[in-house]
Amino acid sequence: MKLSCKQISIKLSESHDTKLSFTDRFFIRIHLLMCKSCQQIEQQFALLTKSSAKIKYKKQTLSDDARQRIIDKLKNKQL
Amino acid sequence: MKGIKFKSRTEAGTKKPQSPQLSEPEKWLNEYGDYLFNYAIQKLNNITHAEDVVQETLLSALSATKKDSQYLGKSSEKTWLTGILNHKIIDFIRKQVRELTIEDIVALSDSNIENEIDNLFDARGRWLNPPQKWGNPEKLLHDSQFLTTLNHCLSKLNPTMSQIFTLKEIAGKSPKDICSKLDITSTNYSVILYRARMKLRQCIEHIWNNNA
Repeated sequence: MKLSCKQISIKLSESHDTKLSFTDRFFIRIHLLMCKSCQQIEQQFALLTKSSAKIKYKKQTLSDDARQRIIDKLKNKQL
Repeated sequence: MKGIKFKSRTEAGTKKPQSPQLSEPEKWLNEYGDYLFNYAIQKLNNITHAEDVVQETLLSALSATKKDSQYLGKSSEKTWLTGILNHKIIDFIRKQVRELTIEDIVALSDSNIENEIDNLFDARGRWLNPPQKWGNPEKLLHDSQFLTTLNHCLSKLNPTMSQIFTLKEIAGKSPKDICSKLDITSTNYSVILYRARMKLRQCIEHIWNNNA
């Protein structure tokens, strides 16, 4: 079973969502040994996952507008 | 002015905790509004949407207390409100996915995106524009500019793609959870995530290597 670079990139993406079969992992390893481009894509996908996990949103506060809008809605509902 | 303040304090002080008065939901908003808002941003990656779900949460909470004044006995207010918020977030995303799905499943299996990705490969599936090196991955991980670039590229993605990617990689939900909550098949999920990753890496590579 010879996988193309396109198929490898699909499987590499899948490997971030689910555990691949032994066969898949085996053929990916073989391919990666010989293919610099797919080594890059493996690294890039890994970096996407790792760096996304580091995205922490800055603590924000509700704007006065939003606050007022919510209070108005709540008052409407209470009446 | 002093008189008014004094009066409202007295009112608050004599209020029975069991029966929610006019000020109860406003108290929630003051005490937990920002907490709930930040919680929602983390999951939705969008300020307007986050404001909307916080509003929906407080409205639901208000209805619930009207029906059952004993609600507080069950859990702390914060936990209780967060629970409601979680439901609202899922409802919101589900609705978004459902609305976009018809368009999107088409768009996602759309020849445009398909072509864009196909254009990266030749007929035999080999790279036409091989991925470039971005730099030392360990360093990039701690580079705030890189994270900003990632965030920027995420905002350029199609909304459904960005939403599902956010749930998986930022909010840390499991694929199984995402599929069942959003009612999408695991095949669609894989396709969406693959395209999201491919588009993100293209966008990042374009910005990163041009600036470097």
